[in-house]
Amino acid sequence: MPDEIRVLAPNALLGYGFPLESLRAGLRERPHVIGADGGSTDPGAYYLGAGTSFTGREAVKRDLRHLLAGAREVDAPLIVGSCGGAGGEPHLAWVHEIVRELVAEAGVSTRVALIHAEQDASIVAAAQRAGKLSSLSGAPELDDQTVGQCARIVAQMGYEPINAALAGGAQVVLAGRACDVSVYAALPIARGADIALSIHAAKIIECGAYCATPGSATDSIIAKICDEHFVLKATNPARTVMAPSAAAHSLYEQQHPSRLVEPVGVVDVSGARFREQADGSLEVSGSRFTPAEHYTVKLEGARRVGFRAVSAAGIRDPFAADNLEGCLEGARARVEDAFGRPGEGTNYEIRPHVYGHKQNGSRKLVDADVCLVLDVIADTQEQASEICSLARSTLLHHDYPGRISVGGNLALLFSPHDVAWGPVYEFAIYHLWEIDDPLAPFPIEYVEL
Amino acid sequence: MSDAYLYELADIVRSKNAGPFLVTLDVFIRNEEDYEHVKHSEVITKAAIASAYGIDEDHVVGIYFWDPARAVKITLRRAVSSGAPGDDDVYGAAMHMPLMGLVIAGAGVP
Repeated sequence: MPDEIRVLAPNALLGYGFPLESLRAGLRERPHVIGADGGSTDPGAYYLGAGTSFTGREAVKRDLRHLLAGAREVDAPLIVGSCGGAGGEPHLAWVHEIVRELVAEAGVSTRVALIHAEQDASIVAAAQRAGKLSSLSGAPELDDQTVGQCARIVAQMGYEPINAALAGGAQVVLAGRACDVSVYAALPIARGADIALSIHAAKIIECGAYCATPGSATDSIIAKICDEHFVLKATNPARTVMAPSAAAHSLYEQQHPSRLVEPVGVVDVSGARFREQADGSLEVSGSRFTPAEHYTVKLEGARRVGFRAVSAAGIRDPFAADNLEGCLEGARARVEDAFGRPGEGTNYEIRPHVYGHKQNGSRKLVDADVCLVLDVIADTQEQASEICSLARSTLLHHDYPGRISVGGNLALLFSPHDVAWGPVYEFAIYHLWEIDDPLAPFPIEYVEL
Repeated sequence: MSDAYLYELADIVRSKNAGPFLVTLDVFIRNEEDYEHVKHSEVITKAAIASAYGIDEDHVVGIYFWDPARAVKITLRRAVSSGAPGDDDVYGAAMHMPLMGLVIAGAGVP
């Protein structure tokens, strides 16, 4: 391998933005690869199930425009992981279309690899029957129905499919759902860098300059991976990388503070040493890798559980706020009168989310300052919207003992009052899948643009 | 020596999803002395966390002290998975509140 492998992470998430000066400074370091993480499960199962992105198209296009041009300028591959957020087929196609537009607008040509990560339900069901799936901590057990009920299932690829695409001559790699770490660790590992250092560095830079001081998810960081250590440097001179913030980021969003679990094995960072350098960078060494007994990838499956309607209102009258429980009971009763009890004919759930309730408790009047969000989920959108409407109108006018303000209980926030929020999904699959070949579930398609 | 709330000894108290079914709480203690005190105070136990959060003890997946960052990490099972019906904190980013208020007896805050 060369003396060091340099990996540039422009920001925490594709579409979050980054200062152009930070990218320029990063490019002056001549990175061997530019990585951009496009996704997460954090926004919930909706985006996976519905096939949409949680970041905006123009924002993603803006970031990609500069990253494609920058990668071209320094002749480094650009790797985008978890395209479109959830990394399924519609998400990958969405980013592919954006890249296609940008390449055409720039009047250049490039070789793009699309790595697919969406999984056929029949293959997942077969893996389940063969005992190859195991539930991750906190996730429910699968029953015979679960896999078939999912609207979409993806698997998180390791670094191997990305390296196969690079070996196939791709200048731009658009990966479906991928481990965050894979995006940044793939090329260093392919060039012979130490796997523990590569994974540890990737874990710290996967949120961009979030690990720096001051931290930022919308600024850039570069990792230089050497034989015995790696160096982290913020490309914006206003930031330094200090030991506490970098050490803190090693454990961000991880179940365990010192074990980074990846498909290929576990990196133990408990013996890591952090040395602050005079130029504001940080040298890190001492992480150790233990290969996994079996290679596993994470499966994520989203199941649609209904449709939602929402209404939002303020409550200021302290007496109305103190009697909110009774009003909600009245609203439930009115809905049951029209639709039956939940599950008797119509499946529905009414969840009032109440924020900021202050008890009055004295003659001195205090603005109750309550926010009520009515959250109704039913089998169809029509049912959810109708139930939400009836519950909201009942709450507006419901009587309670000692009521003074008979004009209405709610300060309705919007007209129209209720929103048809659309389908609701939940994660039904969050399981490890034991596979023999890290490449098999992730077919690679090459496109000349 | 008097009592202190945990947040008074910390630079950072944060919460965030660790996947859709777990939430992880990180506390970074400001100095070595307070960190050692918290570590040995036996205040941060599965029972205390379960009580502060109103959850079963077996939903406290783990409590870890990590000396290099003067950090305490507590991982909890979510009552409702991220974004599923009934969830009221999709990113799990505001679940640190009950932890902030744990009382550390005899900590170095006058």
